Amino acid sequence: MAKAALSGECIFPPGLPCVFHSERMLWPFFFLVAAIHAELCQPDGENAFKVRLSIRTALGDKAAQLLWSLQKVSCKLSDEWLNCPWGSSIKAKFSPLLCLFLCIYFRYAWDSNEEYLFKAMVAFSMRKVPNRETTEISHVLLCNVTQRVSFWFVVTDPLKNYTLPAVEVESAIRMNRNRINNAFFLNDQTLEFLKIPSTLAPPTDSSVPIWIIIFGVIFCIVIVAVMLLVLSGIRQRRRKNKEPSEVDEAEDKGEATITIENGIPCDPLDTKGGHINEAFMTEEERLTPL
Amino acid sequence: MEKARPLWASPLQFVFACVSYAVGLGNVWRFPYLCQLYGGGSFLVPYLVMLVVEGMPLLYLELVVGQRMRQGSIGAWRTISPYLGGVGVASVVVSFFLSTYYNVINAWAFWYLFHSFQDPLPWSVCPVNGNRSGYEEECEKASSTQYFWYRKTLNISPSIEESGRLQWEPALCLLLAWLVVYLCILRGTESTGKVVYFTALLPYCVLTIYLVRGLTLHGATNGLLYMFTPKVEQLVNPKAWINAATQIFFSLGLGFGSLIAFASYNEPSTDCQKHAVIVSLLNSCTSVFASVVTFSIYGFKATFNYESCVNKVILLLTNAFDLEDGFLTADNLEQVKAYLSSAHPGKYGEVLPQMRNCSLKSELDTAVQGTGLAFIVYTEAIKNMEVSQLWSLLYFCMLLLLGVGSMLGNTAAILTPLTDSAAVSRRLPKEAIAGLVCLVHCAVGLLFTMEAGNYWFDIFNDYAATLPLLLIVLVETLAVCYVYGLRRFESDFKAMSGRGLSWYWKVMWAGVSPLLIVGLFVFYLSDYILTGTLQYQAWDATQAHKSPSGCRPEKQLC
Repeated sequence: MAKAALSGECIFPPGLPCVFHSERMLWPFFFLVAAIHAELCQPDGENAFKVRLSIRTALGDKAAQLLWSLQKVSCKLSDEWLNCPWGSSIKAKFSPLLCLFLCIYFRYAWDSNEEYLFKAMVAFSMRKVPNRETTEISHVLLCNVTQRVSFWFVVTDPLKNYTLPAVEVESAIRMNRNRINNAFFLNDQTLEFLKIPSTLAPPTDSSVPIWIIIFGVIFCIVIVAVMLLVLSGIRQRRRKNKEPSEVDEAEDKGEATITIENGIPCDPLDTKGGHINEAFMTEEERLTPL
Repeated sequence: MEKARPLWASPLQFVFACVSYAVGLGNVWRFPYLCQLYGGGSFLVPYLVMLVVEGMPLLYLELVVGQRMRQGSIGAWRTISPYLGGVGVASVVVSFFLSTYYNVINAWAFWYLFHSFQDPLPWSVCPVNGNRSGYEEECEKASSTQYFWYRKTLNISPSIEESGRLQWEPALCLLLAWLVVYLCILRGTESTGKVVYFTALLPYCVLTIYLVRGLTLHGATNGLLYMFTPKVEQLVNPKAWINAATQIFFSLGLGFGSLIAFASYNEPSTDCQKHAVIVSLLNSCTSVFASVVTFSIYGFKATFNYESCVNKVILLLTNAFDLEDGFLTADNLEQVKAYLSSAHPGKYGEVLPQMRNCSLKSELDTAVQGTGLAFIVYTEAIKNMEVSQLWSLLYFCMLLLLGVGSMLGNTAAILTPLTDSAAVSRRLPKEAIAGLVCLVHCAVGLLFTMEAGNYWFDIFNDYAATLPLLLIVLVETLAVCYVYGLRRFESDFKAMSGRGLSWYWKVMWAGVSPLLIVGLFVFYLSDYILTGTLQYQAWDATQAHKSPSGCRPEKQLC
C-alpha cells in the first residue's frame, strides 16, 4: 500500500483518498518541459527554490471530518465533475449536492491550472521588483513536482539563458507573501517556501495595555465601596455617641437608678427571655480578663 | 458593661463561612496531585479514614472551644488556662505569615484575570523577538504558558540572592487584593457574613460548569481512567497515609485560630457537632469533585500534546520522504515507519534522531501541584479550548473566590483577638484595626512581588506553617483533655448547649488524635533533619526549566 503511494499510482485502501487522477495526465507534459529547460530548473539548482504545499492539512481535513461524521457520504458526482478524491469506497446516504458543495468550497486538487496560477503569482511578485517589470509567466519554470505536493521553481530572464539571482526572487516573494498565500487559501505554514523565512506579524500593541484599564475600573469600584462602608460606619458611631449622652442627662436627673451587685448592673442585663442569665455568663470573663 | 458580641445573622452564615474558609486552593491543586501520586482511586481510602479519625474530631474541638469561650484564640486559650495564652499568640503569628503570602496568590489570579480580556490570550502565543525573525528564545525553549508565568508575571531572577527590583504590576495587583479583603472584613461579621454566601457557593457553580465542559473535552476520559484506576499496592506505602493525614489537617485549616474566631460569633446554643460533620464532609467531597475536573483537564491536555507530537512526526516523515500530504495518519504511522525503515534505511536513519517518541502515558505522568498546576497546566489546557477567554475568566474568578474565602478566615484569626482585647478596641474602631492589619500585611507582602519573590513564596509555603501548626494543635488537644480536664469541658459543654458529648469524640480527643499528630510531627521533624539544608527550585532562564540540582517536590498549600 505504501509502495503504491510512493510510486505514484492511485490506491484505494478503505478510507484513504486518492489524488492522482490528474497527475497521470500531466507526467508527459512535465517531461517535455523538463527536457527543454533541463539545465535551468533543477532540484538544488542555482537560484532554485523548493515549494511545499499542504492543501489537505489546510483545507481538506475540516471537510473530511464533517463527511465522516455524516456517515460516509459518497461523492461520485463530485469525483467525476471536479476530481474531488473522496474514494469510491464511501457509500451515499445523503444528497451528493452537499458533498459537492463541501468539495467546491473546501478542496482543490493540484493540477496544471493551479501551477499556472502559481507561476502567475511569482511573475506578479517579480514585476514589482525594479528592472524586472517585464517578467512573464513563461519565465517561471517549475520542475520536479511530487505527490507531496512539492516542486522546485526558478525565474529566468526574458531570453531564458540564465536564472535570476536568488536574492531578488526571495525579496520579491517576501514582499508579496500574503497575496500569494491568499490566492491559494493557504498560510505561511501550509505554503512553504523553503529557504525563504516568513516575516512574523508585529504584535498589536495598543498604547495602554488592556489589563490596566480593567484593573483601573475594578480598583475604583473597590475604593468607592470601601469609602461608602467606612463613612456609613462613622455616621452610625456618631449617632450612637449622641444617644448615650442623652441617656446620661436623663440619669443625672435621677429618673432611673441602677442597682449594682457584684460590679454588674442588674437592669441592663439581657436575660433573653429568661433563658440565659448574663450574670453567670460574664462572671468568668471578669475573673480571667483578656 | 460588656458590649454585645456581634453574631452571625443565621447559622447558615456560620456554616458558609467555615466552608469557604476550609474549601480553598489546596482542594484544587494539592489533592489531585496527591491522588495521582499515591494510587489514584485507592488514595481515597487513607483519605477518608484520616478524615473520620483526625479531621472531624479536631475540627469539632476547635468549634466547641470557640463557641464556649466566645473569644478569639488568645482569649480562649487564656480562659482554658492562664499559662496557655501563648498557644493563641502562636496561632495569630502563624495566621499572620499565612495571610501575608496567601494573598499573593490572589494577586496573581487578578493579574491573569485582567489579562484574560485579550484575544488571543497572552499566554497562548510566544512574543516575537527584536528583529521579527522568530520568537523569543526563552519562550521557544520553554512553552508560552511557562514563559508568561516566569517572565511576564513573576519576572523571576535566577536565584533568591538576586532580589531584583519591586515589580510594580504584581504590586498593584497585591494592593487590589488587600483592598478587596479589607472590603469584606471591615464591618466584621456583618460584612463577612454576606460575602461568604458568594465565596462559598459560586466556586461550586464554576466547578460544575467546568465539570460539564471538562467531561466533554476530547481526551478527558484518558485522564479520568488514569486517575481512578486504583493502584492497590500504594495502600501499604506509609507515605500515602502520612500525606493523607497532612492533607486533611491543613485542608481544614486547623490550628490557625480561624475556626475558633468564627465559632466565637455563634449563639451558644448552636449545634456545632452537625456543623463540624457537614463542613469536613463538604471539604472532602469538594476535593474529590475538583480532582475529577482537574483530571479531565489533564487528560485533555495530555491528549492534545500527544496528538501534536504525533502530527509533528507525521509532518517530518511526509516532508523527508515527499509522501502525499494527508497520507500518513496516526493509525497507519507505525506501519509506514516500519516500511520506510526497511525500504529506505539511509534516509530513515537521518530522520530518526529528530523523531520524538510520543507517549500518552508519559504526558499523563507529569504530576504537577501548586502554582505550577494552577497557572501553567490549567492555562495551557484553557488556551486550547474554544472561546478560551470565557473559560479563562471563569477559572480565575473561581480561584479568586476560593482564595478570598480562605483569606476571610485567615484575617478573622488575627482580627478577632485584636478586637476582643480591650486595650486595642477602646482606642481604635474596628474599621481602623482592620485597615491597619491589611496595611501591614500589604507592606510585608511586597516582598513577594520582587523578582526573587516566588522563591520566598516557595520557602514560606513549604516551611512556614507545617511544624508550628502540628505543635499548636497537639498542645490544643492536650490542653483541653488534660490541663482543663475532659470531664470539666464536657460539663461546660452541657451547660452551654444542653446536649451531651458523644463517646466517640472523647476517645478521639483524648487518645487517637494526639497520637496521630505526634506521629506526624516526629515524621516531619526527622524528614527536615535528614534532608539537611533547606532547598528551593530555581528557574534557569537560559535553559528555560527548573534547576535540577537537589530539588525537593513542593510542599503543601492548603
